[in-house]
Amino acid sequence: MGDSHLLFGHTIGMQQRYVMDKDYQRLPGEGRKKKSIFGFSRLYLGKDHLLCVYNSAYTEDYRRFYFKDIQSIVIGINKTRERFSARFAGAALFLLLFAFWRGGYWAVFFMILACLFLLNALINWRFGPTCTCRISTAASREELPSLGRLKNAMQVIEVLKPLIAESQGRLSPEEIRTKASALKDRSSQLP
Amino acid sequence: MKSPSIDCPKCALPLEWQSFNTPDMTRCPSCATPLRVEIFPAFFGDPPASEAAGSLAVDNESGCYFHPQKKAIIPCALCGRFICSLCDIELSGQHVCPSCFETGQKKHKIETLENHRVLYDDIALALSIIPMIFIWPTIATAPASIYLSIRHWKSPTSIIPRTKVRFFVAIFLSLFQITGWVILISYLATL
Repeated sequence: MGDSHLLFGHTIGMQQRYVMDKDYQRLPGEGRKKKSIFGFSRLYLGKDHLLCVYNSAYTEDYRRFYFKDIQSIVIGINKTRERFSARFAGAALFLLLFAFWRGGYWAVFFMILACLFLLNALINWRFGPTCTCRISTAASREELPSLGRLKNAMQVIEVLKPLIAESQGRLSPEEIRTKASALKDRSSQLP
Repeated sequence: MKSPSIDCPKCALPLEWQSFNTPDMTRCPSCATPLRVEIFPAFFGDPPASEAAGSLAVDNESGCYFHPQKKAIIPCALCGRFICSLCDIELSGQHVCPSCFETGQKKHKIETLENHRVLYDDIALALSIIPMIFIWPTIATAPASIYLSIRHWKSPTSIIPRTKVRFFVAIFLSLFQITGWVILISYLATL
């Protein structure tokens, strides 16, 4: 990561270089918000904030996370990939058995369908582990649906870290230890 | 006031500082979920100092427009009124007064305050494409699509920069449909 570049005036690594001539730069990842059928969510990098766009077909909702306000980002690996792949593979197996049992032209139809399900399972597996990514500020704690894959979440965190550090500064491990224990003491003293 | 804590996304139990800002994934001590936790100085941020109240203005200093007894620290970027630290609202590097902030919010003049937008170009495009499946509705939807495209040509669409191509396509398709209807009606009239 020796080569560096300027992003909105911030020095960033070569691997974090994005298109430079826009107000917002798209970050990797796309996901669906929970309980929504249509629409998707994407992340964009602004000059001083991270923009989360929830698109629901004909409207867009925005959430802004200013670099100076971001308190933490937590990524936790979950079992969504395994669960979905197992479901697709199970459906493929069921269709394959059905095809053998049925025979004739229907067998070809069911085998094609089984192949599609199997392909879906393989693609899902190939995209890598899934995760939950949560961003916290003093006022809110929000899950980022677009960062459902670990690979994307890690990539985005690497982009955000230097930008947040530029606006807030960095924490050394020693500082984290002392401040965390001070915070713990303070909270234990609260009634 | 509850002190901030970082919880595991799976079991929701608070995490210990040892798992913060580590280069590799760590595990939640209670549920063993692989995690990555990045915390930033804002997490330990102290509550804002009382300097927000602003200092009192002395004779040769200009006072705030809204609080004449307070010392003005900056002029509003939109109206130029002198404002004190109490009235100063920072928006994307600009300092505005509460009055301009309110006006900007009401009239959608400040982009960073907008959390919702209607995508008229997407609606116009959908109106020109989807009814083509059923053919008959296009007699009403094609003019509606043209009306929407012209009416909202200059309306703000997504915050993420996008071109007018959707409007162009919607108008082109709608004109095509209207031409078809005119030809059909004139042909039926000649019969």
